[in-house]
Amino acid sequence: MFENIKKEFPVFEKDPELVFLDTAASSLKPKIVIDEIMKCYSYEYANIHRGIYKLSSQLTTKYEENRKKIGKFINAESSENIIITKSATESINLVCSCFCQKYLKPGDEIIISHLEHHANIVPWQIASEKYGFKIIFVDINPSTGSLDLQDLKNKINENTKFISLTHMSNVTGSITDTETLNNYRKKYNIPLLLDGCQMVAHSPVDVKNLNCDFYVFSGHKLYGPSGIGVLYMKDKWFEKFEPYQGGGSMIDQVTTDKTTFAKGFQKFEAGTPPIVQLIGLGKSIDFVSSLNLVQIQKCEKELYNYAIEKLSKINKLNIIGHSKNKGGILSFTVQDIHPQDIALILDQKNIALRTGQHCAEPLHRKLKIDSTARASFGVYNSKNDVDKLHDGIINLINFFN
Amino acid sequence: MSIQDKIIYYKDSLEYFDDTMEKYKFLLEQGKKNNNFPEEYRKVDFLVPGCQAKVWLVPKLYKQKLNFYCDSDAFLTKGMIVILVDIYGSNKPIDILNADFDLVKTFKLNSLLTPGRTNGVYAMLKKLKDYAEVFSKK
Repeated sequence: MFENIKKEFPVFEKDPELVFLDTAASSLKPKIVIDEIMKCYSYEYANIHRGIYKLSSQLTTKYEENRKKIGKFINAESSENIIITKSATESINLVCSCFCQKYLKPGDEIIISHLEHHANIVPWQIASEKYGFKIIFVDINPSTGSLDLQDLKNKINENTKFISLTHMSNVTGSITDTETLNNYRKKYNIPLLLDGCQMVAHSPVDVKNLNCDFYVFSGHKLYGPSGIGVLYMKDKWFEKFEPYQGGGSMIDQVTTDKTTFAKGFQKFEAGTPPIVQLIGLGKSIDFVSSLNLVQIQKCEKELYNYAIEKLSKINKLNIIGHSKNKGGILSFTVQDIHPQDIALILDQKNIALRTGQHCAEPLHRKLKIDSTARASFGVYNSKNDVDKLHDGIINLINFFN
Repeated sequence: MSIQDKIIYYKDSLEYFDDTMEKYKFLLEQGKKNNNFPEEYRKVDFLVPGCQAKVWLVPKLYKQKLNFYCDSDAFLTKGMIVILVDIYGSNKPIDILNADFDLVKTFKLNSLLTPGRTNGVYAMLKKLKDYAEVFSKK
């Protein structure tokens, strides 16, 4: 575990006893991120990219330096491959909209899975209604809560035009085996999008190594601000895709008759971007990098193993998903006790966890579970937090009995 | 007891406990009083929309008075719907319609439940009122 790490997070000054186990929904914010945002709004702020004056040009430079930082963070070929959006959801919508409009027609198929967050289901369903292609859901292995790779292999065929999958499930925590996935898709050269929202804060990500066409994540799950998303896109798609939205910044020339568009990432960044959010995200990348993501991954795995060992001893508790390769997400049910009752009682012990379907209704339906309670770990969690969760669950079982 | 008397009874009962866990225990005990939900009504048609837990509410009119069967798959939610049915049930639909429905405020539920749960209580109240409206026209 990271010693004294809670000192970096102001919320623990206010509430030292808080046991925060909802990082998969959104992480807490370290002071350096908050300070950076304050500093930017207080002393550095102006609109960027076309201002001649110092404030604007200095912040433009800083903004673009942070784009470079993001590129390096996920080992992109260049910062030119990084498109800034308002959320991971917008990143997926952008790819979905641009790809489907140009390439999909009735008879075509795209592949997603039962593990997906709604953000990687609904955009495809909307596009499917419009363009008439079919959405094929890859099955999961119900006991491990991971992707059924054999089923994926069986479902790939000459009609498959796109694959969009989570890199790490936000419910079962299982990590997608991209090596096997890449082997399966190479025969038909199928483009791949990976939803990295759960992955980026917990493990090093190397998009070149992953060999994906698109990689998306959000800032707020990476100890950064909300209102900022990232889309990594391979070079070849920049020219192929038409603009996603129209507006300022994404143009080359505008006349009353027609508009010509900017090249590269600018073509996909209409309007004033989330300037300060990107500056904050840059600081959150500094934060996780200073802790070292390999070390973060190791610590969270250790914590997860400790939690599994402790919680699996509770008689009535059922852990959802036992994949060998998973991150620090632990979803569970307690026999005869509704997850909402679990959350309300644990909240009385100052333990914050999430209950419901975690924006993954198809997965819950597949698992034949109405809802689950989910404990998800971040850098600020310790074995002491797990002990409190364990004791809290024992207490609530006694309470309802 | 009139609807208003029952509202005051439950308000006093909830205020009697200082500790939130004691209030929850009170809700739990109210829920336990309700064991007569007919299984044939456990259908999607009778689910209250907008609740995070499942809440079934079934109207039954007998001698011009409207009563309800109710149940929930969550303990504390069940306690809440049982209280609401006890308050509004066994009354003429018109009397239910004219009653106080601002119970989230009266019972100070904002400090007892999460916003999601409070929304669920609003949904239960709305459904009760909707049923009263429908049966008042029959």
